[in-house]
Amino acid sequence: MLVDKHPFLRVATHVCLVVGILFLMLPIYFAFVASTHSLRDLLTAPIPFLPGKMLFHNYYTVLVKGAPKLGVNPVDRMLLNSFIMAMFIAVGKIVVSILSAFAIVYFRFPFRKLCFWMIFATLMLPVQVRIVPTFQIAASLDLLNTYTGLSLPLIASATATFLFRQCFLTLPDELCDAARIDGAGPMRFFWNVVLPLSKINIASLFVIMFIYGWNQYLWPLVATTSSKMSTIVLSMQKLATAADQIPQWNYIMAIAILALLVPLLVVLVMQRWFVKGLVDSEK
Amino acid sequence: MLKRSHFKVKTLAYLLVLPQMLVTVVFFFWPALKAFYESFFIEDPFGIHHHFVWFRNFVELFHSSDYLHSLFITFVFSLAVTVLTLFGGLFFAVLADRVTKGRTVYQSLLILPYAVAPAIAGVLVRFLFDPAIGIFPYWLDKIGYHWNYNTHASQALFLVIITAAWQQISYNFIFYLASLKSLPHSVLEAASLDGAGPFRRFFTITFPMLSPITFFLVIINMLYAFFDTFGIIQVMTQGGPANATQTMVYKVYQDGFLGLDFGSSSAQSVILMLVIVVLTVIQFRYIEKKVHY
Amino acid sequence: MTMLELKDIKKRYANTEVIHGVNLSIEKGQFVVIVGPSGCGKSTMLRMIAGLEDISSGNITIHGKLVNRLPPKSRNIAMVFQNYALYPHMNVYDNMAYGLKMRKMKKADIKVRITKAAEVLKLTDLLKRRPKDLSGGQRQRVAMGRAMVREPELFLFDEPLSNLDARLRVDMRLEIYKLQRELGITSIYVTHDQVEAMTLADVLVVMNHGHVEQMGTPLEIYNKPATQFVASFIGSPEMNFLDVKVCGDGRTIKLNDQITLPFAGSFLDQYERRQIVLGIRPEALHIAEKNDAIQFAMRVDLVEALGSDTIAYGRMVHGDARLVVKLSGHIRTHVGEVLTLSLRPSNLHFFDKTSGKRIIGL
Repeated sequence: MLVDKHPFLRVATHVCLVVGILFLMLPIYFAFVASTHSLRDLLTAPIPFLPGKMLFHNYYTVLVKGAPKLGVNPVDRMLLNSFIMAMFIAVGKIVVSILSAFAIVYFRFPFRKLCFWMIFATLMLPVQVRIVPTFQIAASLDLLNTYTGLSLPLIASATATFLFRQCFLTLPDELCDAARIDGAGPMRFFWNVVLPLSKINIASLFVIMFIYGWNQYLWPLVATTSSKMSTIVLSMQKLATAADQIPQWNYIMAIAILALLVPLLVVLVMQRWFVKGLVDSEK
Repeated sequence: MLKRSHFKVKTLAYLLVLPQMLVTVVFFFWPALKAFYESFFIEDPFGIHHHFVWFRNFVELFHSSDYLHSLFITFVFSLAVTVLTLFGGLFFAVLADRVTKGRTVYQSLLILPYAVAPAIAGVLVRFLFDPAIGIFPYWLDKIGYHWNYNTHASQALFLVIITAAWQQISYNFIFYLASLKSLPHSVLEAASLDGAGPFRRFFTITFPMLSPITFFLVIINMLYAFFDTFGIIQVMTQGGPANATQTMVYKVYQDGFLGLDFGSSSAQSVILMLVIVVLTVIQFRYIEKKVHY
Repeated sequence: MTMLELKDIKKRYANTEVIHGVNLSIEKGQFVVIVGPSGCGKSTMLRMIAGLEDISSGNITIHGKLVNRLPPKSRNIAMVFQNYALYPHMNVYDNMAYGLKMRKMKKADIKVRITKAAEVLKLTDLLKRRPKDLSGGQRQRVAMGRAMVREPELFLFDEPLSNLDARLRVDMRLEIYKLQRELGITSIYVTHDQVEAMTLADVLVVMNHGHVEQMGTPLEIYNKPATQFVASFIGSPEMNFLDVKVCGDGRTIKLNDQITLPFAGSFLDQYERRQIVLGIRPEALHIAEKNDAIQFAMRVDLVEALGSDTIAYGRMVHGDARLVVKLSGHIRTHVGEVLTLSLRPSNLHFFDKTSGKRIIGL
């Protein structure tokens, strides 16, 4: 580490960081403040800078009671939907990818290379590009407004497969030799040796995929028509684009805070794995 | 690449890749082929008439001022977002790399925006800039600048740009920080001995050494701006006012789901696929080789 | 009785043949060492015997049963790898137990076997540790323990000592030797180190470029190398090779214009007036005594005084041919000194210059 010979620079660095971070945190901060006030407080300009006294009331309304006359439905169901969808996607992606990565790295079979390139090709087909036909296919398979429909089209992830493939390629060859001589078949080898050694990659991938799943917007938008299946991120759409009424900003902000709280906590708590997963998956 | 020590049980191998192949074929390739196919047809919304029209959809697109406009908007949007996030991420990464005290706290806070869904980011920023109650319009009004992004096209574009940049900065920050950490110290120390001060060192040595990761992030940011910003636009401006924020992806959605013009929407999807192919090829061909941590 | 037989084994990768028809026959309880330079195919041979690689053509039989297509786990073999191949996430006990668990052995029986092996290999205190907390030598012993507890019919060793430091290598070599003698399990050991090969082997197999050059006891191979390659590979420092000419009806060997050696044997007559290669080991040369019939001079270019031996490198005064001589440790010499050397005709080896094969007779 180069020793900093300019104490001025050191102080300046900290100052810049703090100021920059304050700006970055502004939207989240104000959203939180807004979620703790009454709508009346918010409508009087300028909006308050400090949290108010309505925290419990607002969040309780939003989570449990709802304010149907104002167009606000309780979001407890939506939180559940988001959670199920995110778990389905994260777990689904990991299971599907780790199995196919294992097959591609450790088995010789006809069309092995073809499978690999097909998986690679999915990198060039994000959901936004195939949104209309995917919707039509999901509809024809009767998958609209189901958890399966919300998640299945999103779980064939090339990045996850590549990450696991990379991970497996770095396992020493002799480990497999030893296991074969020890009498382990391929699935035993996978379960007893490969899987335990991939634990860290699975954890970091899980964090990223969970957040990816939780934050999905376009696909849930087209794949669900019933408000019972709406996710919490999706609920933003209805509220924020309601043209007839004054937006219920206090409730909207409370929902927004709830929507971002879960992924935020996940990132904070699993930070090291999260960063590792991001960096690794792009190699 | 196949491991030297491998198994030859074919049926098991097929079973293992089956789930991924199934989902890939049903939900990736089939829709892609469908979009490709549909792009050569004109179909009315009720599905009664279905005419094969060769490349007419494509030709019409390129003659349509709407589409060309969305091309332009997308270009401006992705360029602005790319530049902002690159510099923002680099700025924070350089600063965070220099400090030792409190680094984890800074790092934790700087990656938070990544956790926020683009759609949610849209709501958060919209609240701050809402013409009626937003705090920024309030201050701008005080200095005589009238702010209403619902009527001013450039303001709307500005808004979605900074929201997208805000959300994506964490990603750039993480990668730049990882790269900075893995730079060989010996080179920088040699430069220091040669008499280069911190700013000099940064511009003449550090930044050039970061060029592989910068190229990589350019591609990633462009892909983000093209595809992952749908939520932001939907929540903030719905493509308006007067299509001022209608990116190509948004237009695909609008024409397909709201306008029910499947032919045109499919043609647009095909064009977007070509864009991705080009960007991905560039990424893997020229960049992957140079990036190492 | 023959335990393992390899008949005309060939191995091809894509269109390149790397093993060209190897024949080997191994008796029960033998310690066979396959030695050769890197790339000679010895590891490939071992992996084919283990079943980790397919044979392109030929037959492998164990106890008379054809095992070509049998997977490794059905061949009743155990293997010790160069890099130990211990499962990093399991402790020593579980590493040793894995193979037995796969064979559905009862837990109690597993414990008995492991405790016994751990005692022999001095691993009893390390059973709960993970590989990353062990030294290189300890890891190697765990690898051997894992092989031992299987009580296999065949032990395979793939350069197990290459990753250890010199001192440890000597100690472990001794342990492996003693263990094998005690247990009496047929062993095949692959190495590129000829000292290991000479000290461990009952039977030595020298391989080069996918061929078996010679197979025999270590002393046989040392004393009667079948080809120039074997002669150069076994023995350190390497054997001296001189191009010589046969004259006088096969009765004289001309080293150069100055020196001729009388030859008592009769098998060189077919090489009359032709060039052959004469080989003599550095240790077979000695300082000439007054009555020695053959004497020639060598100028010393380099001296290695090892204490136990003194190795002198130099050139023959007449003819400039390079020579290495190994002398007893208490003989001192220095650079520039001219030594007068002699040899005994019985220590000479002759090789055909084109085929490299030993000229039979001696």
